[in-house]
Amino acid sequence: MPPAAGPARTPRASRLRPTRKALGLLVGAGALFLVGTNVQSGWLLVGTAGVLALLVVGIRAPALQCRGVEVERTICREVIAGSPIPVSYRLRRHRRSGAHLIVLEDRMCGAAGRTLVPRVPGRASAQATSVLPAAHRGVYAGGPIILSSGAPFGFAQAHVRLEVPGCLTVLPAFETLGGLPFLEGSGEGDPAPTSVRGPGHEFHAVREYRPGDSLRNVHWRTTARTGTLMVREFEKERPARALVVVHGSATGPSFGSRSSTSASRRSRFTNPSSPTADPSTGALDRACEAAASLTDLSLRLGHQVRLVCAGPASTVSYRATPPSGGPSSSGTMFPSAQIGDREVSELRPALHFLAAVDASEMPVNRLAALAAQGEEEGALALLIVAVTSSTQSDEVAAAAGSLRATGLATGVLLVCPGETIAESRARPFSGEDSQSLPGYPADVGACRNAHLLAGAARATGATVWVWESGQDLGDVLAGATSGSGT
Amino acid sequence: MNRLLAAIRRANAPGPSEDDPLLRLAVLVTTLVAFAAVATQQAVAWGSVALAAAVTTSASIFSYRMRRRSLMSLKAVLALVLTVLFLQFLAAVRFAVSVDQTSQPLTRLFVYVVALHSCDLPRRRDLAFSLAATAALMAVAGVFSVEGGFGIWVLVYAVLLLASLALLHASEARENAGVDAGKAQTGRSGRTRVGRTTGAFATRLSAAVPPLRAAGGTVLPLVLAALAVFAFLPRFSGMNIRRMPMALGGALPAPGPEGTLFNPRLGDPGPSGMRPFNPGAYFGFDDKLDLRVRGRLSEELVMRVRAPEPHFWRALAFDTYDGTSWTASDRRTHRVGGAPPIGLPAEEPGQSVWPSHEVVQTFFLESAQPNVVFAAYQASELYFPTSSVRIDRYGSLLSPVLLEAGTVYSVVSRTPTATPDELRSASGEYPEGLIERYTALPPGLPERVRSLALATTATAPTNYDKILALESWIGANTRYDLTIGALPSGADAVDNFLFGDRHGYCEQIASALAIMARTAGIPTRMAVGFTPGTRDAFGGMFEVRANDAHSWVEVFFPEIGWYEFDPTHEVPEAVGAGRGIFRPLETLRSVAATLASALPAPARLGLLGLAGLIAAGTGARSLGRGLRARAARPKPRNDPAARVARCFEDLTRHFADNGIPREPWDTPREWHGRLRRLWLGPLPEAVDRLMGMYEAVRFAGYRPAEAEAAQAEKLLAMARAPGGGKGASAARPRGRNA
Repeated sequence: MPPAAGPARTPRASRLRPTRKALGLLVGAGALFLVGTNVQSGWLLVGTAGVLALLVVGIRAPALQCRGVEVERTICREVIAGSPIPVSYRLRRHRRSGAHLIVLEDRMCGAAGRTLVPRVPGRASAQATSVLPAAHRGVYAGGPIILSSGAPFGFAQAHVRLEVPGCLTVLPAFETLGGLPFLEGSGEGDPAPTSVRGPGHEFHAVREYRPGDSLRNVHWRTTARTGTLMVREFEKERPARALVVVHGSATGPSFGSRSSTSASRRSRFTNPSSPTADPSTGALDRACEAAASLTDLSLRLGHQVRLVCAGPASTVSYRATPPSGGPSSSGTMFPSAQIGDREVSELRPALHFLAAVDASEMPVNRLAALAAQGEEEGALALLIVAVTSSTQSDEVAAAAGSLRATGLATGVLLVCPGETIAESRARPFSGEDSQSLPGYPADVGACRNAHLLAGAARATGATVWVWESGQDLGDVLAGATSGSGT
Repeated sequence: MNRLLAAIRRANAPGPSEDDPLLRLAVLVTTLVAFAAVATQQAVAWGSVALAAAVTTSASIFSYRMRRRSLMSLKAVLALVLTVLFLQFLAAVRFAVSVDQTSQPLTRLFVYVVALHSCDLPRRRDLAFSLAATAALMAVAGVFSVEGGFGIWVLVYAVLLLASLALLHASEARENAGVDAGKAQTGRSGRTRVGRTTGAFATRLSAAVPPLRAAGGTVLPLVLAALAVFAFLPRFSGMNIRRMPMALGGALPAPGPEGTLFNPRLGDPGPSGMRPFNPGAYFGFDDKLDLRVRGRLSEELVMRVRAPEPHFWRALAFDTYDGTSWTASDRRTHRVGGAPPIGLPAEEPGQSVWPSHEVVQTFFLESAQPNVVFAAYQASELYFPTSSVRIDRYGSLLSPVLLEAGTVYSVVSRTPTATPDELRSASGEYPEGLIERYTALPPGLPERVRSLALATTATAPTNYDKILALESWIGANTRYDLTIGALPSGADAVDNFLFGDRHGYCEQIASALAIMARTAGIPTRMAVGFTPGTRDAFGGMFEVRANDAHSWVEVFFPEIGWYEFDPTHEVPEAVGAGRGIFRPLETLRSVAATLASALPAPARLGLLGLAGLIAAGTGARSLGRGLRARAARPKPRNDPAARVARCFEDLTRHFADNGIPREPWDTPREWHGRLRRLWLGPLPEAVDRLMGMYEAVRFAGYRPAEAEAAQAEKLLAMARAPGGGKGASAARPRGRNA
C-alpha cells in the first residue's frame, strides 16, 4: 500500500515539564546541604553538588532526546470501524547522538495509541509498529503525533507535537443481514420488478422472427408446428432501484468534523466520552452503519442502490451497482474484516461515501424531497434518520410523504443514539482495556422522540422501524422486536 | 476525614508489580555498596553489615518471586521485627550523654531497616524508596568519613545509582507505553511462571542497553556540572546543631604531676640543655621553645581537623625570652571540668565582651601527640573524652591523658575579630601586669635590635601600624631557610638572625618580630602550634602534617585581646584567609590539588600530558569536521530560477500539510490536476499562475527575471493565505467512487 505522505520533523522547541522525582531530588539536595553545612562534612557538600548536577542534567536531557527526530507514519488507507488499526512508524534522527526511550503517541484517530521506541541511533532510523485503537467512522486526514521522552532518568518529560500527514478512511461497520421482506418484495408496497420484455435470462413468450433476432433463440418445435420461424423472447432484467437517504442533524454546539480540512483542525476530533460530546454523532454513526448494512443487502439482492445524504452545499449521492451475475444469496459481498485483502467490490465505494457523511443543517423533509426527485418507477426508498431529541415529527412525516408521493415504496428507519456496531465489535480487540473505542453518551430523550416519530411516519403509510440502543439491527428490521413492523 | 482515608488507601493500593530483574539487581548491588561504605567508615560494625547484606540479598530474591502476591502476614512479621530492633536501639542509647553517642546505634538500626524493607518490594515505587535509603546511608558514611579514600565508594555508588535510575525510568516508560519487555507469562492462579528465563533474560538485557547508554551519555556533563556546582556552593560556618564527637584513642595518663606537659616523642635534653631533633615531633611542644634546634620535620600525618575556616591550631604560648629560647614564666594550671562541654574561662577579664566570632573545630588525631589540646585561640568550650582538663594563664589546655592516635575531641573557640581600623584605634587600659610581663626583654639583648625596631617604626602612628612596619621590614630583608647553621655560642638568636645572614625559619622570624615589637613597647608573646594544613577538597577536612608545625606572634590590643600575626612569608595568613562564603577558585584549586596528590608524580605528569593531547586532538578534529562540513554544504542558489523552484517546493509542502501531498511519482501537472479535483471550491488563481511559472522554468528552459522571481514569492504567499488556502480533505469522495 502506498506510504503515508511525508514525514514530519520535530521543531526546535519542546515542552519540558519536571516530574515529581525532580522535586524529590531538590528536597534531597537541600537536606544534604543543610546537614553537610551543619556538621561541616565536605562529602555531603559533594553529594549536594552531585544531586544538583543530576537534577540539572536530568531535566535538560529529555529535551535533547526529542530534538532532531523525523517521524513518518505508514498506515493503511482504509479500515472498518471497530477494528484495530495497524500502523508503522519510521523515526529518523538527524543528530549525531542517538535518542532513547521515545514514547510515540499517535492521536490520528482520536483515541491515542502509544508505542515505545527504545533507541533511534544517531543519523539513522528506527522502525516501530503499533496498533491504534479502533476508531469511529470518518475520514482522518493526518493527525498529531506526540513524541515524549524522560530519558535517561525521568526527572522531566519533554513533549513535542508533530502534525504528520496521513490519510485514513474508517469505513462504517455493517452487519450481514439475512434478509428484509421490504427489500425482497414480500410486504406492502411491493417493490418487485415489473415484467418487461427485453434482454435477459427468464423466458417471457414466443413470437415471430424479426430480422436481427439471434438464430440461437429460434424455438424449433413451434417453428415446426406452425411452419413459421419463431423465436423465444426473454424478460428484460431491470434491477429494482433502492434509494437510501441518510440524515443526521447537528444539534447543540458544533464539534470538529472528523473530515477536517486543515492540519490545525485535524486534531479536533471529538472524544465521544468527553462531556461535550454530542450523542447525535453516535446516532449518525449508527445510521451510516444501518445504511451500509442495507446497501450490502440490497446489492446482494440485485438492487441498484443510490445513497443520498446532505452535503455542505447540496445533496450528494453515490450510485452503487450490483455486479453482473445476478443477485447473490450467499454470504456478504464484503466481509466485515480483511478489507485490505479483498477484491474491489461495489460496496467499498459505498462505504467510502458513508464514511464521509457528516451532520448537516438541512431538514430531513427537504433532503427526502430532493432525493426523491427524478427517481424512476419501481424504486423503493429507505429513509434512515439519526434521531435526536429535537427531530421534528412533522419533518419526518413530510419526508416519508415526499418519498411516497413519488410512488416509491418507503421504509423509515429511525436510529436512536447508542452503542454502534463498531463499538460492540471493538470490545473483543481491546483486551484488558474496554475503553479503547469510547462510546457516545446516551440520550434518553432521543429514544422517546423516536417512538413519536415512528407514529407520525406510519401514518403516511411507510414501513417504519425503530433501532434503539442495545438492539440487534437484523432483529429490528426483521420485525422481531417491538417498535418495528408495518 | 474520608478524603484522608481515601488518600491513604490510594497510597497503599497495590499497583502493578515490577517485573524487571535487572532493575532489582541494580538496586540490590547499590544497597550492598552503601552497606559496605558505612562499614568502611566505621559507622557500623562489619558483623552487622554482613548480616544485613545477607538478609537483603535473600529478601530481594524472595520479594521478586512473591511480587504478585499480597503478603499481609509478612508485613506483620516485619513490623514485629522492627519493633524489637527499635527496642534494642533504645537500650543501646539509654546511657548516652551526647547526641554523638547515638549516631552508631542509629546507623545500625537504619541498616537493619533497609535490609528488612528488601523483603517487601513488589512495586517500582518500593525499589525507588530503597534507592533513597541507600542515598541516606551514603550520606551517613560521608559524615563519618575522615579520609579522602571514601571518594572511591562515592564513585562506585554514583555509577550504580545512575544505572538504577536509568533502569527505573525505562521500566516506567515501558509501563506508560503499555510495553512488556520479556515479561514472564502469568498463569491463571496469578503465580508467575519463570520458565524460559534464558530467553526472557536475554530480552531484558537487550532492553536495558538503551537506557544505560542514555545514562552513560550524561556522565561527562554530570561531572562538569557537579564540579561547577561544588565550586560555587556557599560555605557557611555551620555547626549550629552541636553533635560533637569525642573518643579516646587510649587512656594512659600523662606521666608526671597533674598539669605537666609531656611530649612522648621528644628525647631527653643533652648537656647543652637542648633536646635532640625528632622529625616526627615538633620541639616547640615542650616547656621551652629552643631557638637553637635545627632540623626538618617529616610529612607524617598528625591530625585531621574539621572546621569551617582555617586557623592556627594553637598549643602553647611563651612570654619570656632569654636570648636562645622562649619559656613561660608561669606554668601553673588549674583544673576545669564538668559534663561536656567543659566551659573554659577567658584569659583576660572582660574578654568575653570583646569582639569575636565562634569557630567550632573537631580534631581527629592520627598519631601520638603531646598531652596538649590543640585549638584555635581562644577555646571557650571543650568536648573532651575526659571529665576535666587543665588550663594555664595563657589559655593553653593540657590533657590528663596521653593523646594517642584515634583520639577525637571538639572545641568551640571565640576568635578575636577586628578590622584594621579597629586595631589602629584600639586604646584603653591594659590589664594589670600585662605590660611588664609581655614587654620584658633579656638584659643581654644588643642595642642595635632596639635601634632597628625604633627606626623601622618611627613613622608608624599606632601599635598596629608598627607591627605592620616590622613585618614589612622582615619580609623584605629576611629569607625563610630551614638549612641555617647552628647558633654561635653565646649569641643572641634574634640579634644573630637580624644582623647575621638574615636567614631563618618561623621560630627566628617570629622571635624577631616579637622582640622588636617589645622594644617598641608593644606587648607580644610567642605561640606555637600547627598551621591550618591542606584542605581536602572533597572531605572538607584540614590535613595537618608534622611539618605544618609553626610558631607565630600574638600581640595584645586593649579591648580586643591577643591578636595573631605571622611574619613568616610563604605561610598563609590566618587572619582573613578563606572566610568568604563563596570560594570557587580556592575550591577548584584544592580539587585539582587533591586529585593530583592522589596520583603518583609520574602518573600525574602522564595524565596531564594525555589530557592535553586528547583536548588538542578533539579540538582539532572538531575544527576539521566543521570546516569540511562547511565546504561541503551546497551553497544556496539565489538566482531567480532557483527561487521559483523553491516557491514551488514550498507550495507542495503547504498542500501536503493540508492533506493533498505530491506523491513521488506525480509530475507537477498530475499533482496540479489532483489538486483541482480534490480541492473543494475553486483553487486559488495564485496556485495556477505559480504552476505555470514553475513549468516554464523547469521544463521550457525559461529564465525568469528578478521581478518574476519576486512575483513567484508573492504568489506563494497568496496561495498560503488563509482566505485562499482552505480546502477539503484529500481523500473525501465527492459522491463518486473514490
